[in-house]
Amino acid sequence: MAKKERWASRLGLVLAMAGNAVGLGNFLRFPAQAAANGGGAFLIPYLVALLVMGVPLIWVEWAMGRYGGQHGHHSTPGIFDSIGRRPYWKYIGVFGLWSNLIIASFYLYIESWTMAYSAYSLLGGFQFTPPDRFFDNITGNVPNSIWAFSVPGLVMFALCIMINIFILSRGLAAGIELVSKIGMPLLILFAIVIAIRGLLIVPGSEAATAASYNFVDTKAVASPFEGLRFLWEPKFTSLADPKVWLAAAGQIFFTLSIGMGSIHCYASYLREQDDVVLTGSSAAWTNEFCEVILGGSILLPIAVAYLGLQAVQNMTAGGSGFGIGFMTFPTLFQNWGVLAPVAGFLWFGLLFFAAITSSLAMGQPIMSFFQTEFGFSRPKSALAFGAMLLPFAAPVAFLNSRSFFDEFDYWAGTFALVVLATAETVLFAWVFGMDRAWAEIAKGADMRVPRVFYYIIKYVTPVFLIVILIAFTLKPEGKVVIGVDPVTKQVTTEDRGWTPYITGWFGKEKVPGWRWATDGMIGLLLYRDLAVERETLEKQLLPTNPALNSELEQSTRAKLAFLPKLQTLRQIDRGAMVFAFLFFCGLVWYSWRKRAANGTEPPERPKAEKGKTIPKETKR
Amino acid sequence: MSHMSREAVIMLVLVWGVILANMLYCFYRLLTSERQLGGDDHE
Repeated sequence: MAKKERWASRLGLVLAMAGNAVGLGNFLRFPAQAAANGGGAFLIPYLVALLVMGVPLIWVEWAMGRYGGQHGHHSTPGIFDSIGRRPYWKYIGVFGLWSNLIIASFYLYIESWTMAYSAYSLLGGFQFTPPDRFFDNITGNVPNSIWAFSVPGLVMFALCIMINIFILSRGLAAGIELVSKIGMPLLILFAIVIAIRGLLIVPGSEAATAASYNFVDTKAVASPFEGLRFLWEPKFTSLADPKVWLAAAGQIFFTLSIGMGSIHCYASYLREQDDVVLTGSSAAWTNEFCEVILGGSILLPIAVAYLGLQAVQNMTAGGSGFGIGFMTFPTLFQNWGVLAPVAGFLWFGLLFFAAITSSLAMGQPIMSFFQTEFGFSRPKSALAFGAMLLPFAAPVAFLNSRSFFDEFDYWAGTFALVVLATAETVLFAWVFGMDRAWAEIAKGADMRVPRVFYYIIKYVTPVFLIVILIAFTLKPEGKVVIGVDPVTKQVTTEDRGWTPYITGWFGKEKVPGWRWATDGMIGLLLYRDLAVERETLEKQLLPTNPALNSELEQSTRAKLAFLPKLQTLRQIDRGAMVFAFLFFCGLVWYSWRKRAANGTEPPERPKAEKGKTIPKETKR
Repeated sequence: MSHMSREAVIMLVLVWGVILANMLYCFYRLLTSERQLGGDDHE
């Protein structure tokens, strides 16, 4: 008899699940999103979204995973099939394999940068090399070229993939759980050290009052607490802005790794009576600790201390701290004297641990699929994951990041997650039945779930998700005029998304004409971002442009010539993504057909009478 | 801390309090629970 794989301990499982959720976004995206969306007031919709969507979905995914595991499935096609019992559910479950493969192909690339940055920091390389040049060296980034690769970058990427495959091939307890038990405490320790050192920065202008701290830094222009104030000062007017609520719900969604299929997979290795409520909540709150408390105390305070509030406000206006984290921090750490190499190593080291514990969770569902549905051994399924990864990782590493990289990030890393989460909520709460779902969540629970969550999971969470899905899909540009220069008569506009279409009805502002947003699903599908870029570049070439000179004209024409090539690359990568999805569908179809031919199809699930729960599930 | 406004400090303390209280409560329950995973089983 084959020994079934299990987690070795509850703490290990919590750390693995928390590691899955804690990723680069906790330290780079959250602070920038919060600062760009109302500071402390952003945390109000953020916590509301955590309660009505995040935590309920965590319990739903854990319970679904454990249920599927009892029926011999460890990946979403099988788990959805065992719950839905209609043929199409297993194909909807394919999203949980497909998105992991596509996300892993670019996420591992970023992970390899964190490895390269931490090693280079420790060697003191950033004393001599500006971070932007180092970034270009490892990515091979050349403006307006379809090619973007470098040998050192490819070597680091290959090394990173091999490390992940090696860890995955060691199994749950000896691989993922062990790495999480080492990586998560180190990540927290590194983050605490950087945060404390950052908050102890005293700008030279305050030396007379704070000299006793011995951290007086003549290069610092402001107190790090200015950065904390920027993050935490509540701007309550932002609560009336629908854009802020959507941003908060989106942040909760992505930070908890919901809708990926990795939580289902990890939970499927639990026993029938193992608790999912307390264990799932522990992982979710650990993620919040890493995101809000640690993530909120590093990026902005240190950046504001050295660059000033205005510069950081401009850098985070787009809601991303990626530029500060990779391009600015290595330079800022040079102000820390002998601590500089260690600080760089700790910062990129913590980003590496955050990334690897998440990337392992992307590989595991695909491995589990090959193991359970095709009977592959663990090493063989790890290699199969690697083989499937290569055709998608190669274009990410070789081609311009605005093609495969960005497209994979949006379609698999954003849109597909919302689709899968919406589908799973409908499946669990409505198809499986809320009474059965509630009983499944409560089975073996170490903590009582308040009854109000029964109604939240049944009504509020699906509505919340459907609203997010519609908002993402149909997102309008929402261009509103925010000012006219009295002298030049130049009009300043701002893209405000859904806001003017909602608040406009209450007479607050004029409702603009409808145009698809460049970052909405339909807008991206129609290449609206490229069209807007083309319009802007063509305006620069107009003879009326006072800044036009031969150098600007040459570079603008080069950019214009690059746009059609970029569009072609995007068409190819969309074709590749569709092919990958159909390929997974083919594998699912084949394995189910084989299962049916062998007579190993699971028995019919007994139907629940309304208001009653079935005492014991039918097990194969 | 003199650079922080009163509203910012209140917001920070409230949100940090909610998160820390929940996390510590969950870990307290988890680590004091006698139920554990693990052990062998066969299918």
